[in-house]
Amino acid sequence: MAVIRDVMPAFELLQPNSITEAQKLLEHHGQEAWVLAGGLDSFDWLKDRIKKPQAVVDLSGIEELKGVRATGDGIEIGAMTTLTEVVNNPIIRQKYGLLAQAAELVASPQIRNQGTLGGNVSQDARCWYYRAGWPCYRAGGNICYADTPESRNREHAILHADRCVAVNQSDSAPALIALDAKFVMRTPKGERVVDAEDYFIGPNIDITRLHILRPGDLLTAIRLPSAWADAKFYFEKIRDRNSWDFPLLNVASAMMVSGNRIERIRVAVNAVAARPLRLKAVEDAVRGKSPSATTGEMAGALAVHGAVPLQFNAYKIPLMRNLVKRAIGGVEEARWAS
Amino acid sequence: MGILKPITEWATSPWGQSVPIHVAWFLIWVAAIAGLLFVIAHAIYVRYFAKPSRFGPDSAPVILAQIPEHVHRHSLTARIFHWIMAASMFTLLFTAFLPRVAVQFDWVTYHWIAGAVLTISIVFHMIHASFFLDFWSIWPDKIDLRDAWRRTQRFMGKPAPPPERFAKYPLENKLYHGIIIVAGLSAIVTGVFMMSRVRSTFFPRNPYLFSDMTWGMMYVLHGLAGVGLIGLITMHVYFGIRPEKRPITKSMIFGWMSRDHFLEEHDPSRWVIKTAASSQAPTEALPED
Amino acid sequence: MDTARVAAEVLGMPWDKCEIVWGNTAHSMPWSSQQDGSQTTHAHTRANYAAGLDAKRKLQEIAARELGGAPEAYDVGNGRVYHRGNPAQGITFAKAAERAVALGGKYDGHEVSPQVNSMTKASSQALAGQGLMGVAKDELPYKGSTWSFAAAFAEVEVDLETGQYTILDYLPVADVGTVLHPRSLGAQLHGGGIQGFGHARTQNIVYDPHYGKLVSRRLYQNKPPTILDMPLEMQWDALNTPDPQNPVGSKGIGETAALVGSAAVLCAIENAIGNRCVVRTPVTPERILEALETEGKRPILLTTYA
Repeated sequence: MAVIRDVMPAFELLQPNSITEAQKLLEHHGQEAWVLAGGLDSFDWLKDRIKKPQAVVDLSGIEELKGVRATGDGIEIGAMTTLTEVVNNPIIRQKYGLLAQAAELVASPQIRNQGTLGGNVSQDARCWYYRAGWPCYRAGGNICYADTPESRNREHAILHADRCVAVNQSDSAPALIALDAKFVMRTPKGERVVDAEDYFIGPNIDITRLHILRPGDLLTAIRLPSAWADAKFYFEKIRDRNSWDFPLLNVASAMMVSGNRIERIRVAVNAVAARPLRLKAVEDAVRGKSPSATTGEMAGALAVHGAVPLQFNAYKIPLMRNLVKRAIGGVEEARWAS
Repeated sequence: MGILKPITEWATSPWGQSVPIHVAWFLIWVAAIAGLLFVIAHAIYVRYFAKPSRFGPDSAPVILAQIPEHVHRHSLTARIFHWIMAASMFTLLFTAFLPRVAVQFDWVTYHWIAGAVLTISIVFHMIHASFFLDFWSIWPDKIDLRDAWRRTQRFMGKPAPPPERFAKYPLENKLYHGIIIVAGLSAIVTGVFMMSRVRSTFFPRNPYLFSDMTWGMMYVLHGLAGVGLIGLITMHVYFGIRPEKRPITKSMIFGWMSRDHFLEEHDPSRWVIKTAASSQAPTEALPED
Repeated sequence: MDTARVAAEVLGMPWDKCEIVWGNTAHSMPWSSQQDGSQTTHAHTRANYAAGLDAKRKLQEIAARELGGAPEAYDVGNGRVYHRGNPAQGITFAKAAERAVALGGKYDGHEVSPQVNSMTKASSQALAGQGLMGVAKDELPYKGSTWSFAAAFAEVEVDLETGQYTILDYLPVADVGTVLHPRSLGAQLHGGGIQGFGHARTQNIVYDPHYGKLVSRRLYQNKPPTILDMPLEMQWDALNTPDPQNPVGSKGIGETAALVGSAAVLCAIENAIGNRCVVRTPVTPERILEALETEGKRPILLTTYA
């Protein structure tokens, strides 16, 4: 029988007006519901007819999910705020520039105009075997096509792989972890708030999703505490092209430096594992030291400890080492080597 | 193949072929409920409907007199095997099904380690029981079948002579063991092949050892064996804690059962045991037990 | 379109007074050749030249008939065919066309030379009787082959820690014979160059070796180049030396522009790294990092299992 990959399968389109209504709909439809934010992830699945939910819950009409508001301690960003809005927001630019930098490097301007912050952190894996609809572990099957001696796995994981070797490729996620963000969800049991790094899970917990949302849950907002406002930030994204591409690797760090000593620091990387990794060991190792290239080199070597390369992604090890080094010590002036 | 469709899940392979990938997970509940229903039905039957068992004539008093107070039933080796096998079996079932129905955790490594333990213990058991214990004791013999027919007749109210007392194992035990062989070996053999799908210390990883269809059928067989074992183990544990069977369970811990219990249901000419006066015992060769 | 300009030049007709009609066999348009073998400009300029000469010859003959004298004494220019010795003695193309229709035969397309391709003949006969028609087979002299060449220079800056690189500058210099249309040539050199950058940098068709199926199915997986991967400013140049095998001196550019863009960038990267890191394209960050990590030896692909 021919496999048709054209025209979205039929679904019931539900367009709630409030968070409460949306959460109830998601709870009611359970496994058969699909959350539609900006659509940049959803439509790929639906148009390829690989995922066929019975009900799609469109969040675009829910005003309370949009916008940036000041809170008692920092700001709260609605999950449906577009990436362009995040990039252009004056408070974020001024005080939480790390997030603006990261959001601005996501994809392309058109995608940022439509894509949301909540969607960016909740995006699904982009492993091309998974996205082609092959029945791998992540799709409910019992094999990983990317983890074989010959398979094409240049973008896949070097750390914490557990049967599935796909990576999380969100750019805003490591920035939010570095800013100690809190993710606010509405669940059947009411509101639930988790630290940014706890929003993401690896295949050892559940191999079919990258985040902790269960059927009936809705990510409503992301809060940035004032503790890391105005810190010294570093963000770098490595990708093949200068636009549109997912990261091969990215790093985000927030540092408080005083008297040439690192007082407090948070470092996170993404696209090396199925979830963004907060590098606690690196943070502990560099605290109290000067933010120099030497410290950075030590931190980089520590960060890649335990990395396991696959056939085509060994380059991620020196790349991660160097990016962590830069996050601590900055980018050295270019020295002509010839 | 169509008969499998309602109880399996299928996917489209990269070549567009429809292949099974695993059993439908609702079978977990089917097995659990079936096991539970069996337990309830059996308990009710025994409590309210069963007649006390009647056996044929007793053995000669001289033989009965030679039965010791502690009848040796399971050697230390056999007991150690049983409990290691049981522990690995429980680990396998919990790591297999708990993430599926309740709490998600990092189960795969524990699962294959327990599987390796089970495999080794079963291989040991097959050799040990075949060559060092009484190989024939676990297989139904002519008397078992004849008595089964007689018991059925009597259950239906028709006249028939009473059955003889059992050898070491009643027919029910032997049949159960037969089913366990099927379920257990299915799970073990498919499980051993599946070790080539994960990174372990045993084999280099080769997920393409078989075709997609073959692997799918293997996962289905593994899953069917697994859910089958849920029901079977439920039954086994139930019988183990039933009051009239507790002496047998104790014998699996301590190695012996009391003379009284032995005399209730077992026939010393069918289950020949070591006696105190073995030199004066009947002249049949005594197999080690 | 640029190649049709040759016919206009042969006939001395101002380009802005020319109307080019193309595209539809239902309107009896003759078929063009395929664009093949890197010979399009070369072949089409020659064909237009031959057809233009044929039209010119017919104009001369008609003028001679009307006004006397030998056809060779007449010249064309500015929409008129006129006597060289006495420019006032001449007729307009329009008048000549009227005469052509009245004369019929070869002048208005009813008859064509037997050398002409049968499809062209069918077209000319379908369009016959509307005016003066120039139709000919290219039988101009030809010795040897005609190929276009280009040399390109690229400057890249490589980040040794991340393997990313920027193309800072690019200069292709082409030998396309006589340049037919400078702006168009510049666009082709740069457009082709950009395509070549894509081949060198990011584009890849990837198959899974076990199943033989394409995994880079979508544009974001196949990675054609984006404008942000290009140098902001690029130059170009051309030799403009006429090719002796073409009456106009022209030849094409086409594929050369892409190949040379790709090659220049790859050479620049090799020059920057000083390593044999370019063993295949695309040269993505990992090629550079692997080359640097393994100090110029063939990249060793690290694996943890057999």
